[in-house]
Amino acid sequence: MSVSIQLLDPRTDPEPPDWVDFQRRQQLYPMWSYDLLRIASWTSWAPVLLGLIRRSGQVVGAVAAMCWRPGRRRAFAPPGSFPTPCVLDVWLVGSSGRPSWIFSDEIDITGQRELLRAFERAALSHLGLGCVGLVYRDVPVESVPVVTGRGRVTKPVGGNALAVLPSSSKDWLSSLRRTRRQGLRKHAASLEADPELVIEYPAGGTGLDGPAFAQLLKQHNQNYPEQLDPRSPVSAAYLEALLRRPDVRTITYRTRNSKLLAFGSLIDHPQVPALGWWAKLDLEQGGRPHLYFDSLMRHVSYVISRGGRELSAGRGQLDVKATLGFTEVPLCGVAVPRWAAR
Amino acid sequence: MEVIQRRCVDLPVGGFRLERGGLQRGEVGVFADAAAAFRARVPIRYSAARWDRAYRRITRDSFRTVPFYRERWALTPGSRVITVDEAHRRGPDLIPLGGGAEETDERHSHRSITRFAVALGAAHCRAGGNGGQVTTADHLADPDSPSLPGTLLRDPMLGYLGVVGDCGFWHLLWPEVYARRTELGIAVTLLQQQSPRLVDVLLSGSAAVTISLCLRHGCPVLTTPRC
Repeated sequence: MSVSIQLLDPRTDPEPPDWVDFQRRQQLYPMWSYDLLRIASWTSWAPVLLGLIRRSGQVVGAVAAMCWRPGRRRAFAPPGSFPTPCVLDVWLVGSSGRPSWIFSDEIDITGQRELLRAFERAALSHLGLGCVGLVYRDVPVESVPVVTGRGRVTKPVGGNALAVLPSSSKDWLSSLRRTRRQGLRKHAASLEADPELVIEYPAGGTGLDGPAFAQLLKQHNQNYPEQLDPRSPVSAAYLEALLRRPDVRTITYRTRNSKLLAFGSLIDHPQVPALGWWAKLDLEQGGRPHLYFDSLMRHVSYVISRGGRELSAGRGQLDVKATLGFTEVPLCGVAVPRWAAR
Repeated sequence: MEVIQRRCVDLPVGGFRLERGGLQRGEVGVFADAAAAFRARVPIRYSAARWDRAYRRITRDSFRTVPFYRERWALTPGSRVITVDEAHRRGPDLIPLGGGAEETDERHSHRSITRFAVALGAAHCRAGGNGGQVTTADHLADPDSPSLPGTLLRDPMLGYLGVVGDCGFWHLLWPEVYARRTELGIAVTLLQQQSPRLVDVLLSGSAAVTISLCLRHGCPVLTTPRC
């Protein structure tokens, strides 16, 4: 069976007609939407490269990667080209705790390995000698054999928090430690009683203010500086487009005079819903305490109410998430120097 | 007062359509009092082509380095003009990726307009408390608004934009301010300010204002129906 790799620059290339069909078949997260990839690519200093893997003309896999240049970033990449020198970072914007490749169910581990190697060769050839290699982020331990090999460096990174949920919120609460349970109830009651606080939890909100959300997210992330993180800050346009989708729910905390205090999103996936971005205003700037726990409780209650059995909460704050019934799924990062990608 | 008839032409610029300020290509003006301009450290010669080039340069650089313009021009079809309210709302995204100031440098703007006023022969203008009147673009078309020589045109966000010369016309501070006529009014670009980057910001109340050339001073002026 013939294998072909189509490499797409979402900034300039039109959406392939069979991509939507593949997304629907595989029930991909909304972050795979071509429009969102296009927005992310235009507004990031690391443009997106989408690889579609076809077998006998049928799309059987996809890889989303971004291409960043080491060093200080002062400019966006020119339209239609990629930065040089660069690293191809296999990471899907907005994704946390999941690999950024996807294959049809009929492709086994060996098949995935072969197809991913074909993608690597095609991508490196497309980007030229300026591309020094690849990095795979958030690879689950069971998928490591797909990307490891001679000359490749594999390192464990922080795990992904995953909760297996019971059939009712009451059962979920009673499964938690007593102090945490009491704390959650107390926080929820105090927030409900606060006359100055307005809490909204719509799906695909139309009144969402992307720039305000992006600014709050930027401020919030400054509290957690990640060294050598090449990812561009999320743009207002991207956040607005993502949060307005009907399969994304956003919880917002505002004061009566509409000052945004915090927001959190939930990717409402039919199989494994996942928590998206969370950001809150610092207490010194007028923020409120305990909003994170309240948002988590509401997300969990919502997922249980619509029959969801699993919830992925992404990386980070694993100790806090453990007290809320989440368990850690170990993840690895894999670095592939150019010479090893053969 | 004689004013050269304005003319608008479309030029393709970096993939965008640029509507020029309304001045003829190759138009060059020289200050009547070149010595005064020289002493005030203001460029003596005005060139429409050079003015357009400066605008294209800042536009290209803004698309390359400023998140807001990247997002706006790449993703939103239609008009490139932004309102002052929008610029306020998106303030943090007007700072280039390399970093920079969050607000317009008022002191620099004041210094520049004072020198420019001197070069125009409106030396009695002393902006900021020394007797010079200051007005906003909203009042340009108002027949009761002052337009005495030395009156300054100022926008709270953009800073000082122009001054009434001794010829009675509103002269744009062209070494630092680019203006072009659009369907909605006059769009202003600060040519020298790196951060926050302000490109094609619509002057409120400028729907009836046009851009012409002052024959006496040889530089762009804002004209209103009453001129």
